[in-house]
Amino acid sequence: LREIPGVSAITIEVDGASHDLCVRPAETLLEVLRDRLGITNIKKACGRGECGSCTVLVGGRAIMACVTLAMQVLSPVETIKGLAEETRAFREAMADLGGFQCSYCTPGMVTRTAALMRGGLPETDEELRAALAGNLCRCTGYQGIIRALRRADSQRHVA
Amino acid sequence: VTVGTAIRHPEWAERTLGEMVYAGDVRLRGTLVGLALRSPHPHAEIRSIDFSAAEQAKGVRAVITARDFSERNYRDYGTGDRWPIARGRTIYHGHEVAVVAADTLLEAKRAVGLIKVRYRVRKAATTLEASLRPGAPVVHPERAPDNVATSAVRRFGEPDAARRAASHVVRGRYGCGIQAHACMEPQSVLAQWEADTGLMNIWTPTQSPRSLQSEIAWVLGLGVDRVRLHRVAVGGDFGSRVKTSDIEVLSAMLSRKSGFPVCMAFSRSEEFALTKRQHECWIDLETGADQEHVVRYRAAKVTVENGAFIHGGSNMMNYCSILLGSQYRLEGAEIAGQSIYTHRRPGGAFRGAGGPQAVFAIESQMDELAEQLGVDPIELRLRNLNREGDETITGWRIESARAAACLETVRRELGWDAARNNGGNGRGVGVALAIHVSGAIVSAATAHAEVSIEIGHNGGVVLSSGCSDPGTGETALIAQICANELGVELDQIVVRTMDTMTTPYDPGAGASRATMITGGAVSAAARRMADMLRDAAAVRFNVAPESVQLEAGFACSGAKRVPIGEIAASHSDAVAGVLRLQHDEVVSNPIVPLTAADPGFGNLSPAYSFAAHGVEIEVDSETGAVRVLRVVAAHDAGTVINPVGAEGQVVGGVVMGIGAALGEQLLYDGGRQVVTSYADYAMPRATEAPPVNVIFVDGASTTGPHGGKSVAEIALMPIAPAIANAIAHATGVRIRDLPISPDKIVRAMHERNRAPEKIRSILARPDRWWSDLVRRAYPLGLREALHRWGPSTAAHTRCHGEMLAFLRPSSSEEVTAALSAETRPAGGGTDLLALADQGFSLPARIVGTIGCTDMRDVAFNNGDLAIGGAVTLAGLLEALVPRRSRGEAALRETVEHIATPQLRETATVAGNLCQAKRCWFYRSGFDCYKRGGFARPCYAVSGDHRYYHAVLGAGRCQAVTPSDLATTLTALEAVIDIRSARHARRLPIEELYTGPGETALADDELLHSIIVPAHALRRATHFVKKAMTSDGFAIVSACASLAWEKSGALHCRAVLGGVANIPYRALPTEAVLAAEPVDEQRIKLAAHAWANQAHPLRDNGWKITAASAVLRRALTAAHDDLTDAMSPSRAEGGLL
Repeated sequence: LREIPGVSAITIEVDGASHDLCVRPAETLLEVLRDRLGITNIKKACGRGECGSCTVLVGGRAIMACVTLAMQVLSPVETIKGLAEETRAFREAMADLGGFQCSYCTPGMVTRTAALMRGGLPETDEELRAALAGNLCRCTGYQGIIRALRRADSQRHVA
Repeated sequence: VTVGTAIRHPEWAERTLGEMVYAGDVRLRGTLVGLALRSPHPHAEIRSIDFSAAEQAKGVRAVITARDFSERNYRDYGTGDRWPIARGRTIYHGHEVAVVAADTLLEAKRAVGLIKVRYRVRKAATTLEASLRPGAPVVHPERAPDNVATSAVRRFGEPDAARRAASHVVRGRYGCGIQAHACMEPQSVLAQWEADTGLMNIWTPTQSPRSLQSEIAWVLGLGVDRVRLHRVAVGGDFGSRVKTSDIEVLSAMLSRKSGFPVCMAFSRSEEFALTKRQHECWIDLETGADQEHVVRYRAAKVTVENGAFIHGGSNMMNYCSILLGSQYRLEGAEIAGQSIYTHRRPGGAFRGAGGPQAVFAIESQMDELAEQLGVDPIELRLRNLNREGDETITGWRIESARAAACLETVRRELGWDAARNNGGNGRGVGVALAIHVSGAIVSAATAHAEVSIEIGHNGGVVLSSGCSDPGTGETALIAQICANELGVELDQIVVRTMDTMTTPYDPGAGASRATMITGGAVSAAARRMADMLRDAAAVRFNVAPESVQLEAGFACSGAKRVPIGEIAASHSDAVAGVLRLQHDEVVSNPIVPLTAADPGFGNLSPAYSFAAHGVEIEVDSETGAVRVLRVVAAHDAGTVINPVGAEGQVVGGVVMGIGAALGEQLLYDGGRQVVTSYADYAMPRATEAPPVNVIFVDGASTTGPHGGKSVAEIALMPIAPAIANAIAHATGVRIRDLPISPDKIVRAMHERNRAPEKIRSILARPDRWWSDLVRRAYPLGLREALHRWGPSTAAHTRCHGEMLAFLRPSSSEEVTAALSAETRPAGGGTDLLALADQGFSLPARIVGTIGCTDMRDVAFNNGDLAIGGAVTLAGLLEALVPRRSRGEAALRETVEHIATPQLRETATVAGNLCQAKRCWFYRSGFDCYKRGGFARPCYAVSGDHRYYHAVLGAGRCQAVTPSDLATTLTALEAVIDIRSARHARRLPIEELYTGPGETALADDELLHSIIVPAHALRRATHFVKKAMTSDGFAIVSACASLAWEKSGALHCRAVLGGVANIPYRALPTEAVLAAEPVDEQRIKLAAHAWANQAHPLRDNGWKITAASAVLRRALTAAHDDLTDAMSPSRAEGGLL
């Protein structure tokens, strides 16, 4: 078991690009993404894993970057930047149906829904709301987000 | 683009991709981190401050104290009492005493730790009651020796005559708790002083840039033009950022002193504890009506708690008082108001500024009055509405009013008449109405809005306004109005906002003025510009100006078309190919200053909006949980300009109002904030938000742009009283103070049924005498003595060092080889960083277990289920097959109720079982018994312990074990497989816990896996939990696991979570169920049988009722499973 006090070298794949970095043991994935790689699209709102604003996909699974140590990350990371095209229909539906206001929670929300859409949306709105319970939003009351998800999903099925 | 059609926000793509630049995203080279030393006392004299060591410390560039400032106060609402930094004394917990700028956060923290302050602690008045008591400690002796900051008595109409005419009178005291704005973007300021030009650059979120600009300039003694607020995206405001907070000026001063840019940014816990918040407000209200159901008068006393400075408190008291006299036709009203100082962090403006509080009182009381009069609540309201053309006794001219249509819409859409006849069984409907201003004209500045429009030769339009868009869609709204007038597409318009150097004056959003006043100014300016274009085109076409139309970027008359860019560029007023127009719109209303000295009479706003909300709810009277099933929100907002934006405001306001109505509340203990995380602050998630049916009734104002009126604040106003009225309808119980939290409902039900929870006499329980004695001594001075003088061992653990190493081995042997007191295991590590944020020091080395392949499996072994400790909760959910065994189904039920989907992806099973206690005192930095050792108090004994503290078995610490899995696994008789380098051992889970969130694991031991025995898996098992929100920790939870024994008797394991320091096995319950026959009555008896062991704290006895209820439900569900499987014979399945 090798131990280098202070810093450790890691390789991390973000949105298809590989990065070799030296990180502090306590450095979070969020710090790496925002401060090292400059992806300020990802927002920090609580820093404690309570609000979902910093959601990214690791190995396709939606996790919160603020409570994930960079050294724990072994699978490829996808951020809102890399998901721009994949989520376009949903984002447009958000704009049409009131899915965002101050937009601070929005990148995390969109990223969360990207994982949901890949797996197929739950049938009932109650299940859908439970699936979105990890993302806090203070502005919209969630209704516009839920409607936008349904619209984007139905468009996908039509296409 | 036309007004009234739904448009996308012009920035939609940037907003959905995170491309908007918020203050925290702005990076300047050489930026320092600013950090304040904050007072640990709510009230103390500062004897001396010694910061010489801090100044010399590595990385420190500047330290500031009151000496760096002049005597100038913030002006706020003309109240002028707020200091920029503690001046000789500190008057609230967290008050800034000194501020440091250093190269890194770590260096800033170290430097703050080096500042030595000698305090002389003074007595503090940290609650409204304490502040009003005779002889109370005084907050501002020079201003308010009795702590009354401002007061006013207002008489409107003919109150005396109206009082005589009333035959029915209702009285009540209505309270609104302290809500946090809880903006998703925490407060953040970047300040950069340009010494050579003498310009202070500021990047910070606000909905009112001009207000911040002038305040910062004033306090720093700079010219207003020497402060520039830059444009940034604003991650929510809701009033919290409409006036300066404290860190703008502090960052600016640090930048000026150090010569570097300085950033001060709040963490979420600081955001909860240190930014502005709602002012606490109580209204003693009396309403009188006559035999004809005509409301004659209203009398009220409004008491607003300011905090240590007035801030928004007096403003709120004044608007609240005036609104009390304005909603409904009245003959007279007499309203007294006071705003009171306390030794607490000051509040600030909050969406509606006194409106929601007034409406909660008025509308709760209207239902009480309706009941007394024996009339339908909607009918009573319809009888007394403000009508078009009315002038209220407070001087409001109601130029348009569709309140009746709003009420009728709710009646229809909610199915009111049928639902109203069906109350009383836990289901209910309620309605409430509200009136609100569309901008309040309280000063010359608020009557103004300036706008400029430029059209270039290519037809591009630049619209500039000093407003800011904190998420309200104001940018979209003004672009739409402008596009509509000029006949251009939205993408032809560039909107410039916020930057105080490049945009014209606008006082910013506030009092719902954006649509009416800024929108009105844009409309007038664009119309003027359109006239100029039409006139010029008419000359060119040689036609009358009226026959020229502007459409799709062209000026047209008949078949003639010319691009507007061409018209603009060749206009005689154009300069260098650009036609410019600056417009200053001034609203013609008289000014109603909204100060305590003003009588408050006059037409406060150009127009008034109305809204009626109807709700259908379900009340669980045993656990106190209220579920809002649906909401009908009918609004008279005049002409709706952009339906997407307007509807969004309504739904968002409704959900924020549901939070205020049912759970959101900041809580103080000795003036210190207790609730410092979303985990403890019951803000609605998608799971708590109901479907909202938004309906805008037809109507138009005569004053607003295109007939528009306000919508943003009023959306918050009627929802809480509608819910309170629905609860009264569903249960017969009227709750008059918000939030209507579960404890209040359970207690009120007890009172109504005259059946209080009986607590077994302490005399019969010698084992509890000592605890009882200590608890009794707490309010008598023990708490205070331990709090002030109890030595703490926490100081030496408060280290600001970092974790040295994180190891990630691939097998548990490697983990156990590394474990020691300094090297600790972690699963997903989700709580590690939260604990660090909460002031706990991280272990020097952490060994992650998620790479250990031998701990990642969920497998069956001879029928026993083995769950690896490093399996994530999401992984466990996927591995469990509910149809395979009942135990797995119960585990699924449990895991689905833990945290959120994202957290379950990372958090592990072992981590969940071993997580630290969640007591909000412990987690919010209170130096308690568990943090600081034996001589420190347990703050929960005398503090707020209604939800998350034990009702039985607790000793010095009142916290509970937070793990839900522990509850279910205890019922399933799980065995814990523990490994270390020395040995391996197995422990029944009942022996795992030694205290709240504390385990029997030695420093070198690892929780390797959990084994659920086959016989337990076969039992019928159910888990039931009650929490404030879907992700919340259990207030109470229960797991019941049942099977028939061969003898025919029932075997039962009943476990409660959230009631004791460890998962509590309810043996008395199990004993009752061992006897025949097991029927509904016996289950009910059994579910409550444990209660005689309870020894609740002052305010958490209600949890006994709630816990018994969830246990009964778990038992009933398990019993039903057994009975279903047994019929027709008890042959298989359920047998042991």
